[in-house]
Amino acid sequence: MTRNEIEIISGVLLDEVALTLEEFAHACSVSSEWVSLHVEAGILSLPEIEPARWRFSSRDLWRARQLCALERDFDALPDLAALVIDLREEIISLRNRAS
Amino acid sequence: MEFKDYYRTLGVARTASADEIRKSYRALARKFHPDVSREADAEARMKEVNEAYTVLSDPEKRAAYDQIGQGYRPGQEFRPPPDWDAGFEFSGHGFSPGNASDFSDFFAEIFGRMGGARHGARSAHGGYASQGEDHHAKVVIDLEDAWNGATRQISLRVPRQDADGRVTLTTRTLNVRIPQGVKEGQMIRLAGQGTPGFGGGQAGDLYLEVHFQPQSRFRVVGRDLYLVLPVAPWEAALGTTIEVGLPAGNAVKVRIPEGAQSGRQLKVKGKGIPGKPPGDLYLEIRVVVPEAKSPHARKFYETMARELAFDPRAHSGA
Repeated sequence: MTRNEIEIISGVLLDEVALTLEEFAHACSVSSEWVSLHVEAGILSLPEIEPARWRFSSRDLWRARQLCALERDFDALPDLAALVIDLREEIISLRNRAS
Repeated sequence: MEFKDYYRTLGVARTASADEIRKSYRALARKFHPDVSREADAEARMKEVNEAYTVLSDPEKRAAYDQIGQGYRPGQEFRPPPDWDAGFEFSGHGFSPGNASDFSDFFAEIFGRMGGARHGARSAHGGYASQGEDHHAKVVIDLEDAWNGATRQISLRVPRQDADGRVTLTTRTLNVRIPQGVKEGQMIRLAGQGTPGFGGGQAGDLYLEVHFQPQSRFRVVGRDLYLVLPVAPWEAALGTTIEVGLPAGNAVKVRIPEGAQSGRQLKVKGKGIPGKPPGDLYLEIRVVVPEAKSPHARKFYETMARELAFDPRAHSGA
């Protein structure tokens, strides 16, 4: 590539290509065990299938990164952190509707 | 580079206990959380508070910061002495490259050397290999970009490690193609654009969270578009066909059924943001009544009042 050429990087839309358990844990900077515990507790909702077939979406990634921060910074119980995230989603939706 | 007084940021004394620091952080996090804060600079303040807490909540970082910060005042030009960190043993919880853009140059200058703890495994060749960290960033695009896709130049602050193992924040510019059909809040995964791997390990990925520029006409939910469509009383009563402009510059002709009322919603299938499946366009009818400013207009209204025998409150109980 010459100096004047601009490299354009193409990505894929998450959801059209969803993340595996390992990819998802890496993207959230957490362990696979942390993800499994939150799925089993129903905090990250996925169909009831074996972990090897779990696939995670954009929304799961957004939720998990915030859950992780709330649990770390506020020592929040996972269920309480999940409630905060549910309320945040509701606020975003209501603000969007009101605008 | 300016010296940052993390104690002042959190509003605690230099002798504050871990518990006092945690309490103060939590109070400030509630005060400046962008979802609830009324402060104009809430997001910037939240970043400062997070950075201060990252340092003061970690005993190793706090001790290093206390040593290096002796004699400095907030805002004073800061230059760390060479080898200031000799004698400190860091456990490797430096700053996560994924969050590098949230931290200041001051933070990177002090704690850059602490990064680099790598979780990895021995490679097939017997060397130590690990995958690079994933990065996260936000990108704001225009709504019309979701129709055709777009190329956006994105500047990211990323940590770079030099030959001495020292990490500094540098700006990296990428030209990224935003795919057609992207939704609000959706992530784009750019494989291999995160931190380079170590010892032959794979590079991390870059995740871009997409948001649309706020714009007044359309409300966007997923790929669906919502629009308030003003119509004249005779258009609503008699029915008509109206051309509705879409964000991409194209237009769609919509038939307004006879007798349409204010508040009624029309769904135009497949005319939202394109994708698999495409979104729908929802039009909320809003009947706009012309003012009776001229004698001629008044006469029209008086004739209607006389001849239509219409009671808008017949079913409301008012």
